[in-house]
Amino acid sequence: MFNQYTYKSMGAVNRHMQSLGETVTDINNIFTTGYKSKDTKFHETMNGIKGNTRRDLNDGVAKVTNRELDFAIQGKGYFEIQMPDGSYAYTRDGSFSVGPNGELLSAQGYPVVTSRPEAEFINKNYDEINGEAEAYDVGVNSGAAFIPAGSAVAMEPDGTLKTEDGTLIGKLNIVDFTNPDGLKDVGDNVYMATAASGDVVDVEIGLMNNQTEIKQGSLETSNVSLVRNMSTMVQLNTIIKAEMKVIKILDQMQENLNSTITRNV
Amino acid sequence: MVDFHNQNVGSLYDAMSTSVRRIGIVQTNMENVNTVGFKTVHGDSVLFSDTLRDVFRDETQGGYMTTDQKLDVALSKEGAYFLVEGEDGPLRTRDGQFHVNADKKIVDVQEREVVILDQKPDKSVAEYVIKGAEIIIDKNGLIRADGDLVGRLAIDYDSKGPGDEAHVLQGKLEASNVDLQENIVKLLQVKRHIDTVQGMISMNLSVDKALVETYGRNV
Repeated sequence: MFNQYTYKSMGAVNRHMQSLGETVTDINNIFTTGYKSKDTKFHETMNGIKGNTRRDLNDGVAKVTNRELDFAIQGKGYFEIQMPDGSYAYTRDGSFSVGPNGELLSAQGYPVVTSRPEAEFINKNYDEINGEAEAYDVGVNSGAAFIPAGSAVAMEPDGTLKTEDGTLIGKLNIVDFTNPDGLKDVGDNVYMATAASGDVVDVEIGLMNNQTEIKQGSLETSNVSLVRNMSTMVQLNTIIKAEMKVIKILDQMQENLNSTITRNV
Repeated sequence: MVDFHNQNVGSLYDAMSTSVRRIGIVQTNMENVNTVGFKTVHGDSVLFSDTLRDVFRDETQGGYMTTDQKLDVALSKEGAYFLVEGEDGPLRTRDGQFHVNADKKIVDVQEREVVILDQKPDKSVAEYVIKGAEIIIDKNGLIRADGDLVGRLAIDYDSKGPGDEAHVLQGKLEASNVDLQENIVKLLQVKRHIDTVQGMISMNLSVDKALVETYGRNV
Protein backbone atom coordinates (compact mmCIF):
# COMPACT_ATOMS: atom_id res chain seq x y z
CA MET A 1 0.00 0.00 0.00
CA PHE A 2 2.77 2.44 0.98
CA ASN A 3 4.70 1.45 -2.16
CA GLN A 4 1.67 2.23 -4.29
CA TYR A 5 1.41 5.73 -2.81
CA THR A 6 5.15 6.27 -3.15
CA TYR A 7 4.98 5.40 -6.86
CA LYS A 8 1.99 7.71 -7.31
CA SER A 9 3.95 10.53 -5.70
CA MET A 10 6.94 9.75 -7.91
CA GLY A 11 4.64 9.94 -10.96
CA ALA A 12 3.43 13.35 -9.80
CA VAL A 13 7.03 14.53 -9.30
CA ASN A 14 7.94 13.32 -12.81
CA ARG A 15 4.97 15.11 -14.38
CA HIS A 16 5.78 18.35 -12.63
CA MET A 17 9.48 18.03 -13.47
CA GLN A 18 8.42 17.72 -17.13
CA SER A 19 6.40 20.94 -16.77
CA LEU A 20 9.38 22.59 -15.12
CA GLY A 21 11.55 21.50 -18.07
CA GLU A 22 9.11 23.09 -20.51
CA THR A 23 9.06 26.30 -18.48
CA VAL A 24 12.86 26.42 -18.58
CA THR A 25 12.78 25.77 -22.37
CA ASP A 26 10.33 28.66 -22.76
CA ILE A 27 12.56 31.00 -20.77
CA ASN A 28 15.58 29.89 -22.84
CA ASN A 29 13.65 30.82 -25.99
CA ILE A 30 12.52 34.25 -24.88
CA PHE A 31 14.62 35.82 -27.67
CA THR A 32 13.93 33.16 -30.33
CA THR A 33 12.18 34.60 -33.39
CA GLY A 34 8.58 33.39 -33.74
CA TYR A 35 8.88 30.94 -30.81
CA LYS A 36 5.56 29.86 -29.31
CA SER A 37 5.52 29.13 -25.62
CA LYS A 38 4.49 25.69 -24.41
CA ASP A 39 2.09 24.94 -21.66
CA THR A 40 1.22 21.63 -20.03
CA LYS A 41 -2.14 21.26 -18.38
CA PHE A 42 -3.05 18.07 -16.54
CA HIS A 43 -6.39 16.32 -16.76
CA GLU A 44 -8.02 13.32 -15.16
CA THR A 45 -8.57 10.20 -17.24
CA MET A 46 -9.83 6.72 -16.42
CA ASN A 47 -6.19 5.60 -16.20
CA GLY A 48 -4.90 8.40 -14.02
CA ILE A 49 -3.62 11.86 -14.71
CA LYS A 50 -2.26 12.80 -18.08
CA GLY A 51 -0.49 15.89 -19.32
CA ASN A 52 -1.52 17.78 -22.39
CA THR A 53 1.22 19.99 -23.81
CA ARG A 54 0.10 22.63 -26.24
CA ARG A 55 1.60 25.73 -27.71
CA ASP A 56 0.29 29.23 -27.14
CA LEU A 57 -0.42 30.22 -30.74
CA ASN A 58 -1.02 33.88 -30.00
CA ASP A 59 1.18 36.26 -32.00
CA GLY A 60 4.45 37.57 -30.70
CA VAL A 61 5.08 41.27 -31.24
CA ALA A 62 6.48 42.23 -34.67
CA LYS A 63 9.85 43.87 -34.03
CA VAL A 64 11.03 46.27 -36.74
CA THR A 65 14.45 45.37 -38.13
CA ASN A 66 14.28 47.26 -41.47
CA ARG A 67 16.05 44.32 -43.13
CA GLU A 68 14.36 43.52 -46.44
CA LEU A 69 14.57 39.74 -46.02
CA ASP A 70 12.99 39.73 -42.58
CA PHE A 71 9.31 38.82 -42.58
CA ALA A 72 6.91 38.60 -39.63
CA ILE A 73 3.60 36.74 -39.77
CA GLN A 74 0.88 38.46 -37.78
CA GLY A 75 -2.09 36.15 -37.51
CA LYS A 76 -2.34 32.45 -38.21
CA GLY A 77 -0.10 30.47 -40.51
CA TYR A 78 3.46 29.32 -41.11
CA PHE A 79 6.11 29.85 -43.76
CA GLU A 80 6.61 26.70 -45.78
CA ILE A 81 10.14 25.42 -46.24
CA GLN A 82 11.57 22.38 -47.99
CA MET A 83 13.74 19.96 -46.06
CA PRO A 84 16.80 18.24 -47.59
CA ASP A 85 14.79 15.00 -48.05
CA GLY A 86 12.20 16.86 -50.15
CA SER A 87 9.51 16.92 -47.47
CA TYR A 88 7.84 20.15 -46.42
CA ALA A 89 8.20 21.74 -43.01
CA TYR A 90 6.85 24.88 -41.41
CA THR A 91 8.25 27.74 -39.37
CA ARG A 92 7.24 31.15 -37.99
CA ASP A 93 10.83 32.37 -38.17
CA GLY A 94 10.97 34.77 -41.11
CA SER A 95 14.62 35.82 -40.93
CA PHE A 96 15.50 34.75 -44.46
CA SER A 97 18.72 35.06 -46.40
CA VAL A 98 19.99 34.51 -49.93
CA GLY A 99 21.96 31.34 -50.66
CA PRO A 100 25.04 31.05 -52.88
CA ASN A 101 22.88 30.34 -55.95
CA GLY A 102 20.43 33.15 -55.24
CA GLU A 103 17.81 30.94 -53.58
CA LEU A 104 15.75 32.35 -50.74
CA LEU A 105 16.70 30.40 -47.61
CA SER A 106 15.06 30.16 -44.19
CA ALA A 107 16.93 30.90 -40.97
CA GLN A 108 17.72 27.19 -40.78
CA GLY A 109 19.21 27.24 -44.31
CA TYR A 110 16.34 25.43 -46.08
CA PRO A 111 14.70 26.77 -49.29
CA VAL A 112 11.62 28.89 -48.64
CA VAL A 113 8.69 27.63 -50.72
CA THR A 114 6.82 30.15 -52.86
CA SER A 115 3.91 29.81 -55.27
CA ARG A 116 4.25 30.63 -58.92
CA PRO A 117 1.45 32.72 -60.45
CA GLU A 118 0.20 29.73 -62.49
CA ALA A 119 -0.55 27.92 -59.24
CA GLU A 120 -2.80 30.76 -58.13
CA PHE A 121 -4.56 30.73 -61.48
CA ILE A 122 -5.17 26.98 -61.32
CA ASN A 123 -6.48 27.32 -57.80
CA LYS A 124 -8.86 30.13 -58.75
CA ASN A 125 -10.29 28.03 -61.58
CA TYR A 126 -10.70 25.13 -59.21
CA ASP A 127 -12.55 27.35 -56.74
CA GLU A 128 -14.88 28.65 -59.45
CA ILE A 129 -15.71 25.12 -60.62
CA ASN A 130 -16.38 23.83 -57.14
CA GLY A 131 -18.20 26.88 -55.89
CA GLU A 132 -16.25 27.30 -52.68
CA ALA A 133 -12.61 27.75 -51.89
CA GLU A 134 -11.16 24.61 -50.36
CA ALA A 135 -7.80 23.76 -48.88
CA TYR A 136 -5.44 22.72 -51.64
CA ASP A 137 -2.06 21.12 -51.91
CA VAL A 138 0.21 24.09 -51.68
CA GLY A 139 3.16 21.93 -52.70
CA VAL A 140 1.84 21.70 -56.26
CA ASN A 141 3.27 24.27 -58.65
CA SER A 142 5.40 25.66 -55.86
CA GLY A 143 9.11 25.87 -55.51
CA ALA A 144 12.05 27.78 -54.15
CA ALA A 145 12.35 31.46 -54.96
CA PHE A 146 15.46 32.83 -56.63
CA ILE A 147 16.61 36.39 -56.17
CA PRO A 148 18.83 37.98 -58.81
CA ALA A 149 22.23 38.95 -57.44
CA GLY A 150 22.36 42.40 -55.90
CA SER A 151 18.65 42.99 -56.38
CA ALA A 152 16.48 44.56 -53.68
CA VAL A 153 13.31 42.69 -52.72
CA ALA A 154 9.93 44.33 -52.21
CA MET A 155 6.82 42.60 -50.91
CA GLU A 156 3.22 43.31 -51.83
CA PRO A 157 0.48 43.03 -49.16
CA ASP A 158 -0.52 39.55 -50.41
CA GLY A 159 3.01 38.18 -49.85
CA THR A 160 4.20 38.45 -53.46
CA LEU A 161 7.92 39.18 -53.70
CA LYS A 162 9.27 41.28 -56.57
CA THR A 163 12.62 42.76 -57.44
CA GLU A 164 13.03 46.53 -57.56
CA ASP A 165 12.43 46.52 -61.33
CA GLY A 166 9.13 44.64 -60.85
CA THR A 167 10.33 41.15 -61.80
CA LEU A 168 8.27 38.53 -60.03
CA ILE A 169 10.19 36.33 -57.57
CA GLY A 170 7.28 34.34 -56.14
CA LYS A 171 4.55 34.52 -53.54
CA LEU A 172 5.36 33.36 -50.02
CA ASN A 173 3.41 30.21 -49.18
CA ILE A 174 1.68 30.79 -45.87
CA VAL A 175 -0.21 27.71 -44.75
CA ASP A 176 -2.06 26.63 -41.67
CA PHE A 177 -3.59 23.40 -40.41
CA THR A 178 -6.93 22.21 -39.10
CA ASN A 179 -5.28 21.54 -35.75
CA PRO A 180 -1.96 23.45 -35.54
CA ASP A 181 -1.39 21.95 -32.08
CA GLY A 182 -0.93 18.62 -33.85
CA LEU A 183 2.23 19.84 -35.62
CA LYS A 184 5.38 18.06 -34.49
CA ASP A 185 8.14 20.25 -33.12
CA VAL A 186 11.33 18.88 -34.71
CA GLY A 187 13.56 21.51 -33.12
CA ASP A 188 15.34 24.53 -34.54
CA ASN A 189 12.01 26.40 -34.74
CA VAL A 190 10.70 23.96 -37.38
CA TYR A 191 7.45 21.97 -37.34
CA MET A 192 6.32 18.98 -39.41
CA ALA A 193 2.76 18.00 -40.31
CA THR A 194 1.31 14.87 -38.65
CA ALA A 195 -1.98 12.99 -38.84
CA ALA A 196 -3.12 14.98 -35.79
CA SER A 197 -2.47 18.34 -37.48
CA GLY A 198 -5.10 17.52 -40.12
CA ASP A 199 -5.56 19.14 -43.50
CA VAL A 200 -3.59 22.06 -44.85
CA VAL A 201 -5.74 25.18 -44.66
CA ASP A 202 -5.52 28.05 -47.11
CA VAL A 203 -4.56 31.26 -45.30
CA GLU A 204 -5.92 34.55 -46.56
CA ILE A 205 -3.21 37.18 -46.60
CA GLY A 206 -4.11 40.83 -46.53
CA LEU A 207 -5.10 43.65 -44.28
CA MET A 208 -8.79 42.82 -43.83
CA ASN A 209 -10.22 41.70 -40.48
CA ASN A 210 -8.82 38.41 -39.22
CA GLN A 211 -6.62 37.97 -42.24
CA THR A 212 -3.02 37.10 -41.78
CA GLU A 213 -0.64 39.96 -42.41
CA ILE A 214 2.97 39.63 -43.44
CA LYS A 215 5.25 42.46 -42.45
CA GLN A 216 8.46 42.96 -44.38
CA GLY A 217 11.38 44.41 -42.42
CA SER A 218 10.08 42.96 -39.15
CA LEU A 219 10.52 39.77 -37.16
CA GLU A 220 7.98 38.16 -34.86
CA THR A 221 9.36 38.03 -31.33
CA SER A 222 8.85 35.09 -29.01
CA ASN A 223 5.49 35.14 -27.23
CA VAL A 224 6.96 33.79 -24.00
CA SER A 225 5.88 35.79 -20.96
CA LEU A 226 8.78 35.96 -18.53
CA VAL A 227 6.56 36.95 -15.62
CA ARG A 228 4.12 34.08 -16.23
CA ASN A 229 6.95 31.57 -16.59
CA MET A 230 8.75 32.74 -13.46
CA SER A 231 5.50 32.47 -11.52
CA THR A 232 4.92 28.97 -12.94
CA MET A 233 8.45 27.96 -11.93
CA VAL A 234 7.90 29.08 -8.35
CA GLN A 235 4.58 27.23 -8.23
CA LEU A 236 6.08 24.03 -9.69
CA ASN A 237 8.99 24.25 -7.27
CA THR A 238 6.56 24.34 -4.34
CA ILE A 239 4.55 21.40 -5.67
CA ILE A 240 7.64 19.28 -6.31
CA LYS A 241 8.97 20.03 -2.80
CA ALA A 242 5.58 19.05 -1.32
CA GLU A 243 5.54 15.77 -3.27
CA MET A 244 9.10 15.01 -2.14
CA LYS A 245 7.92 15.63 1.43
CA VAL A 246 5.11 13.10 0.89
CA ILE A 247 7.61 10.50 -0.34
CA LYS A 248 9.75 11.15 2.76
CA ILE A 249 6.75 10.76 5.09
CA LEU A 250 5.68 7.54 3.38
CA ASP A 251 9.23 6.21 3.70
CA GLN A 252 9.28 7.06 7.43
CA MET A 253 5.99 5.27 7.95
CA GLN A 254 7.29 2.18 6.16
CA GLU A 255 10.40 2.31 8.33
CA ASN A 256 8.34 2.57 11.53
CA LEU A 257 6.16 -0.34 10.43
CA ASN A 258 9.19 -2.51 9.75
CA SER A 259 10.62 -1.56 13.12
CA THR A 260 7.34 -2.44 14.93
CA ILE A 261 7.11 -5.82 13.24
CA THR A 262 10.74 -6.84 13.69
CA ARG A 263 10.84 -5.74 17.35
CA ASN A 264 8.04 -8.15 18.24
CA VAL A 265 9.14 -11.18 16.30
CA MET B 1 -7.61 -13.21 27.65
CA VAL B 2 -6.03 -14.12 24.31
CA ASP B 3 -9.30 -13.31 22.53
CA PHE B 4 -9.31 -9.91 24.21
CA HIS B 5 -5.82 -9.18 22.95
CA ASN B 6 -6.63 -10.41 19.44
CA GLN B 7 -9.66 -8.18 19.44
CA ASN B 8 -7.53 -5.21 20.45
CA VAL B 9 -4.94 -5.85 17.76
CA GLY B 10 -7.77 -6.34 15.23
CA SER B 11 -9.30 -2.96 16.13
CA LEU B 12 -5.94 -1.27 15.94
CA TYR B 13 -5.29 -2.91 12.58
CA ASP B 14 -8.65 -1.55 11.31
CA ALA B 15 -7.76 1.92 12.59
CA MET B 16 -4.45 1.77 10.79
CA SER B 17 -6.10 0.59 7.56
CA THR B 18 -8.48 3.54 7.75
CA SER B 19 -5.59 5.92 8.21
CA VAL B 20 -3.69 4.38 5.32
CA ARG B 21 -6.79 4.97 3.16
CA ARG B 22 -6.79 8.58 4.34
CA ILE B 23 -3.20 8.86 3.18
CA GLY B 24 -4.38 7.63 -0.21
CA ILE B 25 -7.02 10.36 -0.33
CA VAL B 26 -4.59 13.10 0.72
CA GLN B 27 -2.05 11.77 -1.76
CA THR B 28 -4.66 11.79 -4.58
CA ASN B 29 -5.44 15.42 -3.77
CA MET B 30 -1.79 16.40 -3.78
CA GLU B 31 -0.99 14.75 -7.09
CA ASN B 32 -3.93 16.66 -8.59
CA VAL B 33 -2.90 20.07 -7.32
CA ASN B 34 -2.24 21.09 -10.93
CA THR B 35 -5.08 19.19 -12.64
CA VAL B 36 -7.56 21.41 -14.46
CA GLY B 37 -10.96 21.49 -12.72
CA PHE B 38 -10.01 18.82 -10.13
CA LYS B 39 -12.16 18.83 -6.99
CA THR B 40 -10.62 17.98 -3.63
CA VAL B 41 -11.64 14.65 -2.10
CA HIS B 42 -12.31 14.74 1.62
CA GLY B 43 -12.09 11.59 3.70
CA ASP B 44 -12.18 12.84 7.26
CA SER B 45 -13.19 10.09 9.66
CA VAL B 46 -13.28 9.99 13.41
CA LEU B 47 -10.19 8.49 15.02
CA PHE B 48 -10.45 4.73 15.43
CA SER B 49 -13.51 4.59 13.20
CA ASP B 50 -13.48 1.35 11.26
CA THR B 51 -14.67 2.91 8.02
CA LEU B 52 -14.34 6.16 6.15
CA ARG B 53 -17.93 7.25 6.32
CA ASP B 54 -17.61 10.68 4.83
CA VAL B 55 -15.69 10.45 1.59
CA PHE B 56 -16.98 13.24 -0.62
CA ARG B 57 -15.87 15.65 -3.30
CA ASP B 58 -15.46 19.26 -2.36
CA GLU B 59 -17.25 20.98 -5.25
CA THR B 60 -15.99 24.44 -4.23
CA GLN B 61 -15.05 26.60 -7.19
CA GLY B 62 -11.34 26.50 -8.10
CA GLY B 63 -9.46 29.65 -9.09
CA TYR B 64 -9.04 30.69 -12.72
CA MET B 65 -5.95 30.45 -14.88
CA THR B 66 -5.84 32.92 -17.75
CA THR B 67 -4.67 31.20 -20.92
CA ASP B 68 -5.96 33.63 -23.60
CA GLN B 69 -6.84 30.63 -25.80
CA LYS B 70 -10.15 31.25 -27.56
CA LEU B 71 -11.42 27.70 -26.99
CA ASP B 72 -10.47 27.53 -23.31
CA VAL B 73 -13.53 28.05 -21.16
CA ALA B 74 -14.31 27.90 -17.46
CA LEU B 75 -17.58 27.94 -15.52
CA SER B 76 -18.22 30.49 -12.81
CA LYS B 77 -20.39 28.39 -10.53
CA GLU B 78 -20.35 25.09 -8.69
CA GLY B 79 -22.73 22.40 -9.90
CA ALA B 80 -22.55 23.39 -13.58
CA TYR B 81 -20.82 21.31 -16.26
CA PHE B 82 -19.94 21.30 -19.95
CA LEU B 83 -21.16 18.28 -21.88
CA VAL B 84 -19.02 16.04 -24.07
CA GLU B 85 -20.07 12.98 -26.07
CA GLY B 86 -19.24 9.73 -24.25
CA GLU B 87 -19.66 6.20 -25.59
CA ASP B 88 -22.97 5.83 -23.75
CA GLY B 89 -24.27 9.36 -24.12
CA PRO B 90 -23.28 12.83 -22.94
CA LEU B 91 -20.80 13.13 -20.06
CA ARG B 92 -20.24 16.06 -17.74
CA THR B 93 -16.91 17.82 -17.39
CA ARG B 94 -15.56 20.93 -15.71
CA ASP B 95 -12.40 20.79 -17.80
CA GLY B 96 -12.88 23.33 -20.60
CA GLN B 97 -9.63 22.80 -22.55
CA PHE B 98 -11.21 22.48 -25.98
CA HIS B 99 -9.60 22.47 -29.41
CA VAL B 100 -10.32 21.56 -33.02
CA ASN B 101 -8.98 18.13 -33.94
CA ALA B 102 -7.84 16.74 -37.30
CA ASP B 103 -11.43 15.55 -37.99
CA LYS B 104 -12.61 19.17 -37.81
CA LYS B 105 -14.55 18.69 -34.59
CA ILE B 106 -14.35 20.64 -31.35
CA VAL B 107 -13.13 18.17 -28.74
CA ASP B 108 -11.85 18.15 -25.17
CA VAL B 109 -8.39 16.96 -24.09
CA GLN B 110 -9.58 13.37 -24.23
CA GLU B 111 -10.75 13.81 -27.84
CA ARG B 112 -14.44 13.62 -26.87
CA GLU B 113 -16.65 15.84 -29.00
CA VAL B 114 -17.99 18.86 -27.15
CA VAL B 115 -21.79 19.20 -27.26
CA ILE B 116 -22.61 22.44 -29.09
CA LEU B 117 -26.24 23.30 -29.68
CA ASP B 118 -27.89 25.45 -32.36
CA GLN B 119 -25.06 25.13 -34.87
CA LYS B 120 -25.70 26.28 -38.41
CA PRO B 121 -26.70 23.36 -40.66
CA ASP B 122 -24.18 24.26 -43.35
CA LYS B 123 -21.18 25.16 -41.20
CA SER B 124 -20.01 23.90 -37.82
CA VAL B 125 -18.31 26.07 -35.20
CA ALA B 126 -15.09 24.11 -35.84
CA GLU B 127 -15.11 25.23 -39.47
CA TYR B 128 -15.33 28.86 -38.41
CA VAL B 129 -12.36 28.32 -36.09
CA ILE B 130 -10.34 26.70 -38.90
CA LYS B 131 -11.13 29.58 -41.24
CA GLY B 132 -9.67 31.94 -38.66
CA ALA B 133 -12.90 33.72 -37.70
CA GLU B 134 -12.83 35.74 -34.51
CA ILE B 135 -14.53 33.50 -31.99
CA ILE B 136 -16.24 35.11 -29.03
CA ILE B 137 -17.95 32.98 -26.39
CA ASP B 138 -20.12 35.11 -24.15
CA LYS B 139 -21.12 34.53 -20.53
CA ASN B 140 -24.20 32.54 -21.61
CA GLY B 141 -22.10 30.16 -23.72
CA LEU B 142 -23.31 31.71 -26.99
CA ILE B 143 -20.62 31.36 -29.67
CA ARG B 144 -20.16 34.13 -32.21
CA ALA B 145 -17.87 33.95 -35.23
CA ASP B 146 -17.03 37.37 -36.67
CA GLY B 147 -20.10 38.67 -34.87
CA ASP B 148 -22.58 36.04 -36.16
CA LEU B 149 -24.24 33.66 -33.75
CA VAL B 150 -23.06 30.16 -34.76
CA GLY B 151 -23.74 27.93 -31.76
CA ARG B 152 -24.15 27.53 -28.01
CA LEU B 153 -22.14 25.48 -25.51
CA ALA B 154 -24.36 22.92 -23.77
CA ILE B 155 -24.26 23.37 -19.98
CA ASP B 156 -25.77 20.93 -17.54
CA TYR B 157 -26.60 21.58 -13.88
CA ASP B 158 -26.93 19.48 -10.73
CA SER B 159 -29.98 21.56 -9.95
CA LYS B 160 -30.89 24.95 -11.21
CA GLY B 161 -33.20 27.56 -9.85
CA PRO B 162 -33.82 31.14 -10.93
CA GLY B 163 -30.54 33.07 -11.02
CA ASP B 164 -28.43 29.91 -10.75
CA GLU B 165 -26.99 30.11 -14.24
CA ALA B 166 -23.23 29.74 -14.41
CA HIS B 167 -21.30 32.20 -16.52
CA VAL B 168 -18.92 30.95 -19.18
CA LEU B 169 -15.50 32.60 -19.05
CA GLN B 170 -13.56 32.49 -22.32
CA GLY B 171 -9.75 32.32 -22.32
CA LYS B 172 -9.65 30.88 -18.82
CA LEU B 173 -9.44 27.44 -17.23
CA GLU B 174 -10.61 26.41 -13.79
CA ALA B 175 -7.67 25.47 -11.57
CA SER B 176 -7.73 22.57 -9.13
CA ASN B 177 -9.27 23.51 -5.78
CA VAL B 178 -6.72 21.46 -3.81
CA ASP B 179 -5.11 23.37 -0.95
CA LEU B 180 -1.51 22.12 -0.85
CA GLN B 181 -0.76 23.37 2.68
CA GLU B 182 -3.96 21.89 4.11
CA ASN B 183 -3.16 18.52 2.59
CA ILE B 184 0.42 18.53 3.93
CA VAL B 185 -0.96 19.23 7.42
CA LYS B 186 -3.50 16.42 7.00
CA LEU B 187 -0.76 14.08 5.89
CA LEU B 188 1.31 14.87 8.97
CA GLN B 189 -1.73 14.35 11.21
CA VAL B 190 -2.41 10.95 9.63
CA LYS B 191 1.26 10.03 9.98
CA ARG B 192 1.16 10.85 13.71
CA HIS B 193 -2.00 8.77 14.06
CA ILE B 194 -0.43 5.82 12.32
CA ASP B 195 2.69 6.16 14.49
CA THR B 196 0.45 6.07 17.59
CA VAL B 197 -1.48 3.03 16.38
CA GLN B 198 1.78 1.27 15.52
CA GLY B 199 3.02 2.00 19.04
CA MET B 200 -0.16 0.54 20.51
CA ILE B 201 0.07 -2.57 18.35
CA SER B 202 3.66 -2.94 19.47
CA MET B 203 2.60 -2.59 23.11
CA ASN B 204 -0.14 -5.20 22.69
CA LEU B 205 2.23 -7.61 21.05
CA SER B 206 4.74 -7.05 23.88
CA VAL B 207 2.04 -7.87 26.44
CA ASP B 208 1.14 -11.03 24.50
CA LYS B 209 4.76 -12.00 24.38
CA ALA B 210 5.18 -11.39 28.12
CA LEU B 211 2.05 -13.44 28.90
CA VAL B 212 3.22 -16.34 26.81
CA GLU B 213 6.67 -16.24 28.36
CA THR B 214 5.35 -15.97 31.95
CA TYR B 215 2.60 -18.59 31.78
CA GLY B 216 4.19 -20.78 29.11
CA ARG B 217 7.20 -21.38 31.38
CA ASN B 218 4.96 -22.92 34.06
CA VAL B 219 3.05 -25.26 31.76
